[in-house]
This record gives sequence, structure tokens and C-alpha cells, in this order.
Amino acid sequence: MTEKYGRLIVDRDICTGCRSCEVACSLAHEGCFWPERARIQVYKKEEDGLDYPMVCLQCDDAACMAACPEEALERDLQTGAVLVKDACIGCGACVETCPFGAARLDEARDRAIICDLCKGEPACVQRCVVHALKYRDGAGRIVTAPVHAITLPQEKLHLKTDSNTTR
Amino acid sequence: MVKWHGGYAGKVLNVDLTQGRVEQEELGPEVESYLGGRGLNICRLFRLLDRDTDPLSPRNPLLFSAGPLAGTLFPGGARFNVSAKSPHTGILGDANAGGFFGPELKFAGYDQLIISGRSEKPVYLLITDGRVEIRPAEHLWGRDVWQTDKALREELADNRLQVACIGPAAERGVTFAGVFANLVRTAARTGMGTVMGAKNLKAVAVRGKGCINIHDRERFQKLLAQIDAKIYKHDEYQARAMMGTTKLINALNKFGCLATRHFLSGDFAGADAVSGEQLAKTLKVKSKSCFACTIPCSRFFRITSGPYAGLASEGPEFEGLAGFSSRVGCNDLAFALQGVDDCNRLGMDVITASECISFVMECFEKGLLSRDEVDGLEPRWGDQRAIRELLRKIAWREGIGDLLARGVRHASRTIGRGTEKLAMHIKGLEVFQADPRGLKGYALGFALASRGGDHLRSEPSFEFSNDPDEGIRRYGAREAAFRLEYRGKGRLVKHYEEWSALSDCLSACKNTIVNMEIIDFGEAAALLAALTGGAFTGEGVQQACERVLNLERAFIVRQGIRRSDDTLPERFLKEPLPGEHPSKGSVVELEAMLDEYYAARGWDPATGIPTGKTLSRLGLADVARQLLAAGVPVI
Repeated sequence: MTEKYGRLIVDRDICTGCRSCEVACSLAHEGCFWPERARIQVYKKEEDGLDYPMVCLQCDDAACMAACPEEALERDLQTGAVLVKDACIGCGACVETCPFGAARLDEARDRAIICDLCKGEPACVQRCVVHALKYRDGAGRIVTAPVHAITLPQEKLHLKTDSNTTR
Repeated sequence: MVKWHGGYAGKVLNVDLTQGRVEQEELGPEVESYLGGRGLNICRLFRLLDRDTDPLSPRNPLLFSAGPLAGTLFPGGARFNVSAKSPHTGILGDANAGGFFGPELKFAGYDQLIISGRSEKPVYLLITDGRVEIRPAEHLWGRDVWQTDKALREELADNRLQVACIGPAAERGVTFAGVFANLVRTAARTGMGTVMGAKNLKAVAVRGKGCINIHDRERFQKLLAQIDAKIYKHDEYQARAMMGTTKLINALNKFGCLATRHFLSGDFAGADAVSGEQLAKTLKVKSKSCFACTIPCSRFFRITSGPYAGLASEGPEFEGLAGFSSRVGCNDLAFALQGVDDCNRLGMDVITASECISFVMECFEKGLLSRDEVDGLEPRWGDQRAIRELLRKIAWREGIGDLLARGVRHASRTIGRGTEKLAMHIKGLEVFQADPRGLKGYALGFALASRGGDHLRSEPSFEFSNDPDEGIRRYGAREAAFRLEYRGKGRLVKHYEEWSALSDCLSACKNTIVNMEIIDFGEAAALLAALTGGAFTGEGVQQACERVLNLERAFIVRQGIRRSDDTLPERFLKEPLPGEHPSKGSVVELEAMLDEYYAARGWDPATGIPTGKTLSRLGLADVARQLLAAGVPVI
């Protein structure tokens, strides 16, 4: 097992709100286009231009795991992702406990939905062309989409800080 | 009955607002011949509409469609199409918009929504999984687009609700009111919002929790990877991500083709100040995207100082930006954004609104309208107060605004005094923000567009390529590759009309499919086959698009349109484009291009009516019979 867990890094300031991450996630996990079942979802407030991807941050000390009465949440040894096991009964304790609103419930299947980091190759990251989503693996390597759409002129980019970046 | 394995949601929703009745039906086999979106709409509209129906009567059906790519991972598969008989032009009403509404309709289980009748009182339609309700909207009536969107989101307590609504302009019968989704994503042209208003339908709110299937996932993903690669290495990719369509301000101005002071010039001295580059450098906060798009061409901006401080919004596109800068002679970027925002909140089409205002300005300058006739205003070029006051008056139909609320064709005919020649419209629909004298293919496209003066029906951007060999290969004329030449443009426009129809039928972005040339008919067919499991071929898909074009033409010839209506405002045909720039002195050689076009289409060159042979070849023999029965001379 690696020293640190892998996790998704989210930059809310540059998220364009396209929800490609949701669609890619559903395709990877459900085999169809199904944003409702996505493990990542974008909270949007169009009048203020706010786009907040809500996704599991793979907390070191995960409240969801502690809250689960069935011990159905388990660390993936490879990535450190919190995995939902078959023991899950869909009680929703993890959903209520998660401080980031990143756990959701699949009511049809009575099962929690939590990001599993796609075994270390997150599908969402591959479609985030502005790099609002990046993946940092357990070894500290940063993975991004294969292209980088530059959305602001260089001189303006330099003025931006990382203060709002969720780490 | 065709059984679709993916792509399509599979159902059509019929809503009768008079009876308060809602019924759903299976998506029919006609989708094979019309693909979806715009195509599926004209297919239904042609048959549902009685020619003489008043567009504002309950009998005018209003159709919403989202095509097979909407809601998928195809970049820009985000659109929805709205169609009806237009209250603005009296011919085909048809408009589409991006954002998130189209995909949501699909996730709710519907490819098409057909709204008929009229509610006695204001209502909105709520579509959620497995449930459709017609709900009271008296509390929303009178509210602007942004207030309505917010109120519905709060009322239904769902952040993921998608709302398509109208503003006060539509309620008051302004004939160029749009349907607005995500606040600023507008199916703007031809008054589709006005039709909603006449039905007392304030909004359609959708929340879908279902999925869209894929027939052959592996194949679809493989094709998508090829599409991605093409997009990412496209030489316009970064400019589009930075500026989107606003890059056209400087690009067109350089050619001398930027609509300036109501087309009195094509060369705007203030272009730099209101350009996409300037917007990106100053007021832009970040890029925005439509659903699942990898070309983040939209933007969010915030104004923090000056008279318009506090204004923040997504947008604008080139059309609005130029409409409230060069077209009205104003070089203030913040003001242009405010003008667009006024239109967005009031719920009006920015192209038509900016034409109405710039028309009044030219008339006033030439002494054709007096100060009294414009309610004591002095609408001179760049007068910000006058422009905003005119917008307000139009939306509330006060004084001069009431005259302009039906567009410039109506206004100029009412005013007379030769102002008809200054009204920049084709078939009643106002023309956009590029000067057609410097873009001959676009000019031909405007003259022919099935919804009137409009660029989005063809967008023959190949004429910027300057590639003579490719011009010969594709269109049999080297001139087709040069914007100031007219030979080859008939065949060029035919091709681009079909290509544009492809994007409108699939409900995917024209910037991606057509302007960036990301997929052709063959690639679209392969994608559709993988997605839906249907037996699509490139030839078949192109023919479906050709069918859509011909059925739309049949629709408008049934309304009385003939070759003589396929024309341009006199200025573009007779007045050489003034100024010192590469398009100097140019006029549009329209008739020669029209002859070439009709020949390529198989339409009667004398009348512009599709021939019986052409209609039969496309499986539209019944349409030919209906036209004949309606007294249209089909040969």
C-alpha cells in the first residue's frame, strides 16, 4: 500500500460547469449516459457563474467509513479509494455523514454511490479539458485530460491564486 | 415499429393545454427519415399545421425536440429545437439552443414534446420522471426570464431542474420573443417564445433521472476517441476556448464585414474595444460550457466598475455583442453586455432587437423619423440611454416600441417614406451581424434560409478557406473557396445547408460539426449506428438532411414563398460596401448564385418550388400532392 491515498483535485474557479465528468463517470460505471448515477455531480448556480463539482475527497480519516453500520465501506489497497461493498444495505448513514456531500444513494438498488477513482484512472479527469479536475495518485503523480483548454489570457492566469482549490 | 437500442429516449409527449390533457406515444418510425431535432419537428409540423392557422391561435402546435446525440458524451450534444408557425414572419418558425435543457428532456424520457391548445390561465409544464403536470403559473406571469428560472428552481427545490421559459416580451406579444434555458441559452429566432406566450405557457421545467443507452458501447467510444483527437488538434481549438464566437468581432472587422451602424459600413473603428480579445482580457471570469462539451466556448463575465458595475452573466455570443456595439455604433464593451442582458431578461432575440434599434437610428439620421415619432428620444449612433429605453419600450409595447415589437418589416411598412428599403430583413426575419457583401456564400444562404434571413441554416465557412483545389474537388469551382467570389456558391450552400441540418437534427453543436468540420455524413452515420443500433449509412443520413431541407421548403412555399422572396435587402445588392478594407466596393451577385443553387437542389428555377421529381426521390410524393391540392404549382 502506498503512503498516501490517491484523490481527485478540484478547482472550482475554472470549472465550466459542463458536467462532462458526470457523463463520463456514468458511462464508466453504468455503461450508459446517466448523470443521475454519476459518482461526481456538479452543483451549479448559473446566475453567479458558480460550478462546484461535488466528489469524494477520499479523506484520510473518512467519516463515512466510521458511520457505516454494516462495515460495507472499504479502502481499495491500490488507490486508497473508499469502495462500497455488497454488504451495503443503502441505509444512507454515509450520505448523511459526508461533510462534502459526496456520497449519494442509489434508491433503486439500495446502495451507496461513492467515487471509486476508477481503479486509479478516473474517467472524469480524462474529459475535463480545463483541468478543473486532476487526479493525484498515491505517489503524488498528477494526471490530467490529454488536452488543456486555456480559458484566460496568460497575464490574467498569473493573477489567480490557488486559495480556492480544494486540496 | 422500430426498436431503438440507444440514443433515442423513445417517447413523444403530447400536451393539450386547452383540455389540460397529457398523453405519451412511442417514438415513430419517421425518425429514420428525419433523424430527430429539427428534422423530427418539421416532419410533424408540416402535417399538423393548417396553412391558414393564425400563429397566435391555439391551433398552432409548438414542438420541442432533442435529437439522438443530446445527452450523450458527444461534445456539444446539448441542444434542443423549438418549432411552430412563426408569428414574426408567418412562415416557418424554428430555433434551437444549447445548455442543459435538451439533455434533461431526454433523461426524462422524451425525444419530442408537442404542445397544442391554449390554457385559460398562465401555466407551466413540469416534467419529471414518469410524471407530467400542468401547474398554475399566475405567480410567475410578468416576471423576467431570470426571476422565473429562479422562482421555479426554488419552488421545486431542485438544483438540477432545467427550465425553458419566456419573459415579459413574450407575454405581451412581441413577435420576436425567445425561449430561454439556463438564463441565457436562447432559442431566439422567429418568435417561438411568443407562441409559448400565446398559449399562456410560461415555462417548461424538466427533471429527468433516467439514462440514455448505447447500442454498441465499445464502438461508440472508439469513434468518440477519434472525434476527440480531431477536436483537440484543431487549429481553432484554443481560440474557441478563449473567446468562442466573440472572436468574430475582430475577425470580421478585418475583412470589412462587421455590421456597422446598420450596414452603412463594414468597418468599425471601435472593434478592438468591444472584441472577444478585449472581453477575455478584461471582464471574463472563466469559460463556460454546454452539456458535456469539451470546447468551452462560452464565458462568464463580471463588471466591477463604471455605470454597469454589478452586471454579471454568462455570455454573450458574437451576435449580441456586435448587435449592441458595432451595429448601433457604440464602442463601449460594458454597455454591449448590458444591452444583451436587457434582451435576455426581457426575453427577446438580440439580432432582431438590435436591427430594430439600428433601423430607427438610420431612419432618424436620414430624417425619415422625427423626434416626436420616437417618443421624444434622439436615437443617435451609440446613444446608450436611447438604446436601453427603446429595448424597454419594445418589450412593454409602449409608443415607438409597439411599432417595433413586430420587427422591421412591419415597422417600415407602417412608416413608409421609403424606409422599407432600409429594413434589413429577409422574409420578415432580420439579418445578423456580418455584412453579406463580403461573404457571398453566406449571402446566398441568407436569401434562401427556410426561416428567413438567417446564417445558421448554412454557415458555408469553406469560403474562408482560400483553397482552390479543394474548391474544385468539392464544388466544381475554384471560386467556391473564396468569400468574394460567387461561382460555385450554389453547390457550396446546398452542401452546407445539409451539413447544418445534420447538426440541428442530431441536436449537436454547429460550431463543432460544421464550422470545425469534426464529422461529415459518413462519420455521423457510423456514430448513430453505434449509438442506436439502426442501419444508418452516410448516404442515407445526407438524404435525410436533404429531405428536411425540402420539406421545410415545401412548408414555406405552401405559405406563399417563391423565388422572388429569396432575395436580400437592396443595400446588399446595389450599394457597394464602403470603406478601405479587403471587401471594399463589393455587392452580392445574387441571381447567378440562385440559378446554380436551384439547379443543384432540383427546384424549379422560375419559381423556386421543389419539383415533383425531387420530392418523389426523397420519398415526399405525398407532400407534392398536398402542395398541388393547396394550389402550389409543383411541376
